[in-house]
Order: sequence, then structure tokens, then C-alpha cells
Amino acid sequence: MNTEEHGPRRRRILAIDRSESTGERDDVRRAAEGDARAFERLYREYVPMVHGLARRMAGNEDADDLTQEIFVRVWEKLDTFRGDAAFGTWLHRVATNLILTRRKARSRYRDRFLEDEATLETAHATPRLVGAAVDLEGALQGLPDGARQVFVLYDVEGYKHEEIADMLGVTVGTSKSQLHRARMLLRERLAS
Amino acid sequence: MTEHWTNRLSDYLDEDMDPRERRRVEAHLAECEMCAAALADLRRIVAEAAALEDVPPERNLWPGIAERLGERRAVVVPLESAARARRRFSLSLPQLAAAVLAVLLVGVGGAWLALEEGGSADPTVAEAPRRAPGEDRVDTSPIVAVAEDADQTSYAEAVADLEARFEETRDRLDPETVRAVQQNLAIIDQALAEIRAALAEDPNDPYLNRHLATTMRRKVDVLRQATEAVI
Repeated sequence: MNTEEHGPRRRRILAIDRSESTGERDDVRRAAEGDARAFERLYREYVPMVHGLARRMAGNEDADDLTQEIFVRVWEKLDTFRGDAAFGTWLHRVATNLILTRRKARSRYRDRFLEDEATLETAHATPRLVGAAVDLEGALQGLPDGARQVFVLYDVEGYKHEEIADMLGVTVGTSKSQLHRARMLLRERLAS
Repeated sequence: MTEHWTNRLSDYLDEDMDPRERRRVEAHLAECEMCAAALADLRRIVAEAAALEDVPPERNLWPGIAERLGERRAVVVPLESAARARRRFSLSLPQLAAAVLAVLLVGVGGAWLALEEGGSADPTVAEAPRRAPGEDRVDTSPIVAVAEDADQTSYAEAVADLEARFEETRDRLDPETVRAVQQNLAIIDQALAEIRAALAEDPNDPYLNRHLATTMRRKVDVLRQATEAVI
């Protein structure tokens, strides 16, 4: 059975929790008071995490837009951050929720506007990655949305099935079956 | 290797099954090379996924973010100004058509252009700002909220006039043309309704904002072409 930390797997979101420094706490406080330079320091610290999450969850073509929108949203919501969890953990959750909301709205209208959609599909280059990471990141981009989201949230980010089911509005069983589907599809794609 | 067993491999890998079931899977793995190979592949994929590194984006996204933090400050515009802008609007039809195009290009279209340049349209800019970032920032977009509000009103008025003009002159058009125009307008209206419904739920979606601007422009183009055909 799953343990608190998900069996043998590392939980990226817990690693964030443990990495908070005093300087970061000061920056969070200053940013909440309106200090844009402090907020820029937080951006520099966390943009790799946020952009990686956006790229894997939503695809290369939307990752930049989503990343910018996430940081704007975080700036707006900073005064609701109570400090119960680490800032990085809170930011990760805000980012995940916003990405899922955007993807849901987008997928509803995607098929109806194929002409304009084509202009949005201009893929950005996948960032500097090497070896197996390139293969896996590339294969991830080809997965169906549902399978990709569960795979990223579970295997990359370390959320539990119960948390994922809650975020996606599906059952735990669906989350598990989508995870297995994603892994098997990735196996096929990485083998070919 | 059967689907029954392969479907259990992820649960086995995640230690998400009871000990009895686990022993059954292990017994099967001991005698099925294909399932054992599949499990090894899945184990490698899971390990690689957990080891993926986060790297910064290729381009610097901060300027686009900083600009939008500044926008929040730019929207403190009395709502009465928007009302006055609406009341002042009175143009002849040709002026109106030209104004609509200009408004779309400068207003909503401007937001679209901003998107193309890496920023994101944000129709919620009329919200009061939480606070302004950086006291030294120069406010370069003081009438964003007014412009968008007035654009929407001007657009509605202009479309209404163009539609009225089309109704007046449709008898002088070929019936096939009239039918084609009506079909196009029905499709565009349905699309506009759906995009607006989606934006009501999700006002910041850059994708939906792009489509709203494009679709509004299409409607004006269709009406303009139809009315110009009889001038």
C-alpha cells in the first residue's frame, strides 16, 4: 500500500517544502507588500519549476504564456498566502490549478477553431535537455491530455492519486488507469 | 503476457496492492518474460520521470510579467469615463465602419498583438489593483479599461448599424449571396456566444481572447463586404 510519501518514489513537491530559506521568506513578505524586485527574485528561483510544469502539462506551445500568467496570478494572490506551507509548495499548487483550468477551457473549444488553432501550434524548441530526458520529454508531448496530466502529476511531481482525482475531478480509479495508460504509451513510444 | 497481468504492473510498481495479490503477480513475473520486460521498462520510465530536471525557459519571460503587473495599476479609471465615451459615439456609417476596424485593430487587436509579442491579453484589467509594483514604473496604458469597454459598445453599435444596412439593401443582392452571408453570420454569432461563455468562466485565457478578437473582426468583414456589394 502507499505510504505517506508514495512508496519508493521521491516527492518533488515535498522537496520544495524543505528547501525554503530565510531569504526567501523575506522576499515573500516584501513581495506581498508590493516590492516587485523581491517578487522578481522569487520568479528567478521558481521559473524553472513553473515552466517545466507548464511545458509538461500543457505542451511547449503554451508553456511561456502559462508561466507568465501564473506569476501574474501569484502576484495578485500573494496577500492570501498564509505561510502554512512553504511558498514553493503554495506556488506549485496555484500553478497546477491554473494550468488545469486553462486546459479544460481550451480543450472544450479546441476542435471548433481548427483554423486558428493551427497558428498556435508553432512549437517552441524544447529547452536544453540531454539524453533520456529529451526522449521522455518528447514522448510526453504526444500523450493524450488526460494521461499526460496524471503522469506528470504522479510520476514527475509526486502527487497522490487522491490529490490528483480531486484536482482533475475524476475518481481515484480513473487516475490510476490513466497513469497506467500513460506509462504503457510512453513505453511504446520510447521503444520505437 | 495478457492484459489482465499488464494492467496490474503499475499497481505492483507503486506498491499499491495487498500482499496476497503481490505474491500472485510475482509468481507470474517469474514465468513470463514479456511481463517481466514490461515491468522493467515501466520501472525505468518512472525513475526517469522522477529525475527530470527543471530548466529555465529559452527566453526571458520576466519583462512580460513585469509589464502586466504594471497594467494592474493602469486601470484606475472612473467608470463614468467609459459611460461618457459611449454617449459621445455618433458617426455616419462609413465613419462607423472605419472606426470599428480602427477600434478592433487598436483595442482588442492591440491586445492580440501584445499576445503575439509574448504578453497576454487580460480582460480583467478593470479590476482594482491590489498594489502597484515599483514606484518608479511609468504608467504607459492609462485607459485600458475604458478602451475595452468602449470598444465593446462601439463594436455592438457598429454591427447593429451594419446589420440594419444589410437588411435594407439585401433585396438588391443575389439570393445566393444573401443566403451565404446569413449562414456565415449565424456561424460567427454562435462562435461568439460560445467564446464569450467560455471567457465568462475563464476571462484570462489568451487563446479565447485571441479568438474573440478574430471572430469579431470576421463579423465586421462579412457585414462590410455584404453592404459594400450594393453601394
